[in-house]
Amino acid sequence: MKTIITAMLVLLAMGVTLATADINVSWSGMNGFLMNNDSDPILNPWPGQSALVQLIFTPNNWVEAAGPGGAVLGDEVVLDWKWVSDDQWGSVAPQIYTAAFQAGYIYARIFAGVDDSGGPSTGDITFNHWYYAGPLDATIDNTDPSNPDYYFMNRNSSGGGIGDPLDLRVIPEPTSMVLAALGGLVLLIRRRFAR
Amino acid sequence: MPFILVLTVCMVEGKLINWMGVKMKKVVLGIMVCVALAATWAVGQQVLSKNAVGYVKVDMEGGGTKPNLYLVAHPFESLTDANGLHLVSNVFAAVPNNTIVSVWDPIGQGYVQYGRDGRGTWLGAAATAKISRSQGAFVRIPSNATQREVFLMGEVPDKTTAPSQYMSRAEGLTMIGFPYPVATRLTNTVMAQALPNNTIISVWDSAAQTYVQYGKDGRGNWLGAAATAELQPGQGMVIRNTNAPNSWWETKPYSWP
Repeated sequence: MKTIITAMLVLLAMGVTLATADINVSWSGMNGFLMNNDSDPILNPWPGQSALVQLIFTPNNWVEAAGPGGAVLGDEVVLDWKWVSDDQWGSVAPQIYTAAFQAGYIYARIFAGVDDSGGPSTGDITFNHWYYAGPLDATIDNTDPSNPDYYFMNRNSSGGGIGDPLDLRVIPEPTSMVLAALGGLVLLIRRRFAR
Repeated sequence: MPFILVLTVCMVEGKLINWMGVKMKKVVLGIMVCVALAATWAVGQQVLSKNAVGYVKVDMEGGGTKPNLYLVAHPFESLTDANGLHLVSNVFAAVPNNTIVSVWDPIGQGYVQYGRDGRGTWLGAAATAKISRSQGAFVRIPSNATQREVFLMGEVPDKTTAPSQYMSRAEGLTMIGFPYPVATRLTNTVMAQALPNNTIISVWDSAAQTYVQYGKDGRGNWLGAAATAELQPGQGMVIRNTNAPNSWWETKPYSWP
């Protein structure tokens, strides 16, 4: 009985600890972003385009590639997202994100602009679409809402002026890759038997 | 100026009276009465400009299951202190017991806290601590406290006492408020121009108990909602920028007083 009570007390203490643990972060990208040529702004024309920006959680100390539509792959989870078009560089105004604490990492990424006439659509983010992923930061257990942690997307050096260049490209979604591989296999087999 | 004007009118009236055959003694008496009236008027004008007082009411209450935070900044001059400072225990006289007032030390980059104990006594340094006009302060109201009305009250900064106000920002975090008691668009302030690029301003949303943030981008433009944001009287804000400190003179945004 003593063991059970001790275990219950420990669990209760853990529950209290978990209940007060938070991710409490102000995230932004106020230098904006440049296309892969490190020169052109990512919204072109502007106005007329918006860029999808996402705050992502990952339990791993690495960044997965982005899928079509801005999909996350692997264990990653989109915590927060929005369309930005405040200026032609897709600068991301600061905002607070709070949620229950998870041990792991956060990072943010932004995709090249898509047409926003009639409202921007993630459907326009397709294979080979350019994007930028900010650095990974370990999550911090912060329960003080008056003192958030800060996450800045713009931390990579850029020789092309203010802002970071989009240097990554959207990869096909896994099902598409499997289908493409199967197609290639079929072609190889047909060629083999055609001889 | 009104004094001179009234005196002039009286002298003219005196001449007119003399022309009409009235004794000189009466004329002199008339002038003296006019001078007295003018002096009273002049003094009255002075008192009027000195006594423009105002207040901002802030409702504060506990959050039920957790304490609530309020971020305020006193926009008025002190009516009693020669240096224009406000006693913490006076400003927050209405807060419940076990309230903590946290004032930011921009040099040490940490809070200096003042507490009111469970019996209502301001503890230690809190009893004599003072805050200046436009200095920000977080007020932590205990979870179970019912609603209280806190009045930020004092003399309205006027054309004599504060036609402009010296403001400064530290490297890191600074907690201040707009130094005049009138709602002002952020981008219309001198501060908006003076703050370095990549500055984040955080104002506190008391209802949501979180910050609303405004950012000045790497090119010097205020982003998104910042362009139309209004700073409210008595509202505190946290300014974040890691550049070297800088300062500016905020100008009074109203003509009277």
